[in-house]
Amino acid sequence: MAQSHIIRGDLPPFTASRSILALMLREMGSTYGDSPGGYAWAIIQPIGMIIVLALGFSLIVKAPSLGTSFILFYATGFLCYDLYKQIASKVAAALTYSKPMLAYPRVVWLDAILARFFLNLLTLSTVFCIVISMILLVIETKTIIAIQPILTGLGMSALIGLGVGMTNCLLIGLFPVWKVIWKIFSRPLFIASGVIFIYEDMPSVVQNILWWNPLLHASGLVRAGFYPTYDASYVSLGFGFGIAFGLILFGLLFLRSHQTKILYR
Amino acid sequence: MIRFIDLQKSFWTKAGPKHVARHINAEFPSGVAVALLGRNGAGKSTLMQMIGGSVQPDAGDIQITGSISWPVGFAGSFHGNLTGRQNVRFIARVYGIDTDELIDFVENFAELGAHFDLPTRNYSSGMKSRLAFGISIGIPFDTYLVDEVTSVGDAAFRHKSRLVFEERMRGSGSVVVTHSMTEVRQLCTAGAVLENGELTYFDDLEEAIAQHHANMGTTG
Repeated sequence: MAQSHIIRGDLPPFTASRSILALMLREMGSTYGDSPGGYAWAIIQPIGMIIVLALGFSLIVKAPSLGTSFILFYATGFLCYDLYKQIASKVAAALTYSKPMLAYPRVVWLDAILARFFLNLLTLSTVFCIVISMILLVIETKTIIAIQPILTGLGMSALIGLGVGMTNCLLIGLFPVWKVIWKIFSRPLFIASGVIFIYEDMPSVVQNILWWNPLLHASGLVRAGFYPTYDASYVSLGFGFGIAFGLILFGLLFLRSHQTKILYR
Repeated sequence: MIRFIDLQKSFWTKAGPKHVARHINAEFPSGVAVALLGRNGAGKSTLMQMIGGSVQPDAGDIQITGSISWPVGFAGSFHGNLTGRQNVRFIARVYGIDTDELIDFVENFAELGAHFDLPTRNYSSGMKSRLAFGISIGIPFDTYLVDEVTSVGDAAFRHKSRLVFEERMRGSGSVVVTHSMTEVRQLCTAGAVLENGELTYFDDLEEAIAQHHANMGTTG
């Protein structure tokens, strides 16, 4: 097939950022739009989740794997995992979600993907800041926080989410059965990504397998930032970001050529 | 200006390939209202979508100068869960237009009343078309793509839309698809005939209409 392209003429500057922003604002307006409080629920929901998780586990286990505070331990793990999870699932559905908006030639498929990525990144970063500040204010854990590993870990988690989301967007679009397979396949990730058990808790056989889970590297980094005594020496930045960028590249390449097939099948 | 360079587009149907464009080379000048004529299923809407950019050609280029609207009138572009107002706001943001100004204009123009604040999934097709036409005409484009939309609404609304449209056409060009020859003569000065994947441009609308009737085997 010969190469074809349309020369769009005079597109004003910032067309892409305008589309992305419009998509983000419209998603904020319509998600939780019917319930009172609106988009605030996107922030309240994960906070509730952490409280329940921490209360539940504090009844079963005597002390968390790191430090003394259950809520700080689960919050750091859960928020890092949730960042990946939310971004991955929202990005995977981005094209079908924004399909009516893609009818406008100025809104392109990449805008739809990036809008969902940025909106969820912003929302969950806000959640992260609120939850962590609340915990530190209320329970006085006297933690010395190192910002850099935390940001690196969260960044890794978000980018893995983007990569997985784009790849799943492609695969689900082309083979709808992949949605079911991925659901089964990704179910254990919650347990295997260092939310409840950290890498060092695991027997060496499990360690050797789960080392290949990039999310374990992200959560290790975040925890290393919160617990000065914990250095998470197993973490490989190259591996974590390598997987993330590999998946993003794969998604970019193939979504570009298959987006119409996915949208109009 | 819209210039087609060796444009190709075909679909696969059970009866074999269906050609919308086979090596189309043509040019619509800037600021001219061009009627796009052709029989049903000739691919007029597909050609419009290719000009608008929502459908990719198989091969070839379309070169466009100036800003261009989306194909107006295919009301599928509204998000059903958003209200009319929210849809207008979204489009205003995408096209960098003042949101409140566009909302005021569309609210007055489309005459939707209370429906303006209800989800568009509850709209009748006439209401959708009125909203769609109102939004697009509310945004200044260099070229408007209008697909069968001026034929919506009652006589009074049609009259009003034609006035607004003619006002807009003073500074802009357009490509119009409609089956009503009366309307074609009211709105357009030039014509292009799409037949069998070939596109022929006529500076004179009457020549285009004559060619179209010859293709259809009818008399004007």
